[in-house]
Amino acid sequence: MNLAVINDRSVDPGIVGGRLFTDLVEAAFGRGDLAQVVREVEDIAGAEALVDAAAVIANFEMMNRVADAIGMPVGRGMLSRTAALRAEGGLDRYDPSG
Amino acid sequence: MIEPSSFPQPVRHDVVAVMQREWDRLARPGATLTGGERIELAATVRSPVRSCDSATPEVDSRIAAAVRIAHEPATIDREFIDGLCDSGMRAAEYVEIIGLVSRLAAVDSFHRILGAERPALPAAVDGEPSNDLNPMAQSGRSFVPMVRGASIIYALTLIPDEHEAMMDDFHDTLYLSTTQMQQPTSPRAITRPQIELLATLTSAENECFY
Repeated sequence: MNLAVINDRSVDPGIVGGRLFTDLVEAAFGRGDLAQVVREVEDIAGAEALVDAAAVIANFEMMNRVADAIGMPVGRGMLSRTAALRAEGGLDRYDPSG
Repeated sequence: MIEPSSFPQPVRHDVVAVMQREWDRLARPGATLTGGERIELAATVRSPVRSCDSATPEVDSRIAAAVRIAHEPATIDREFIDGLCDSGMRAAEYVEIIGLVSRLAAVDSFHRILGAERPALPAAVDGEPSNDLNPMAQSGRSFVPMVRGASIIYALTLIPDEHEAMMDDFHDTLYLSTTQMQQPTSPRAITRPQIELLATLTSAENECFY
């Protein structure tokens, strides 16, 4: 998967259906015509895939709030193991510890 | 009432069941809040006009916590938590608010994406809070006490019911169980890479570092 898509949504995520599901997340967060993108996902990937994709987005709407609300610490081991990944995706900008 | 006919598409029965169970849970007394207080908080975070100018400082701090978790979770920091503590909010009350607000966000998001009408909040069920807390929960590096600690999967373990709702119901059904997470394959209609792409992009949209 090409994590550059996190910072630049025009980048091809490099997986089957990646563009389609990127568009779904974008539209779910207010950028794009959600109803139109949902129809596209349903037409191309099927209703079952659309429902499962919506469920994953919904789950992380929950998990992200929980993690932020409890001040979930990211351990040193995890930080060390994910350094390259975080750099590729530009994720350190979200680190609340600065 | 959340049922299969609530959605334009055929939705897995286990997903519908989780959401209906949440609606039932939302209406009932929790560990620290009455059913009426839980529904009031849910209505507040759904309202386009939110005010912290309520009857008591205790209610104000509940609303402040709920609104922040719902709408600006990435801005929650130690200073905000200290303010809640100074207002007299107990850790268990905060954990209950995290649980109900975060799951409400999931339910509403799921409905909105699928083009379904947002379900009306249920009527509150009478009764007193259970005060059912896990005595093994301990303070650690996060803002709330938890059992075992330092993992998102134990985040709400101070309140057993909240932990079960988050992990056994929502996480395992909408995403993957912890066992399924260890497997490279997907039990869903989308592939594992597609699942992780959706998870990653959603977390980026929410500016969630974890």
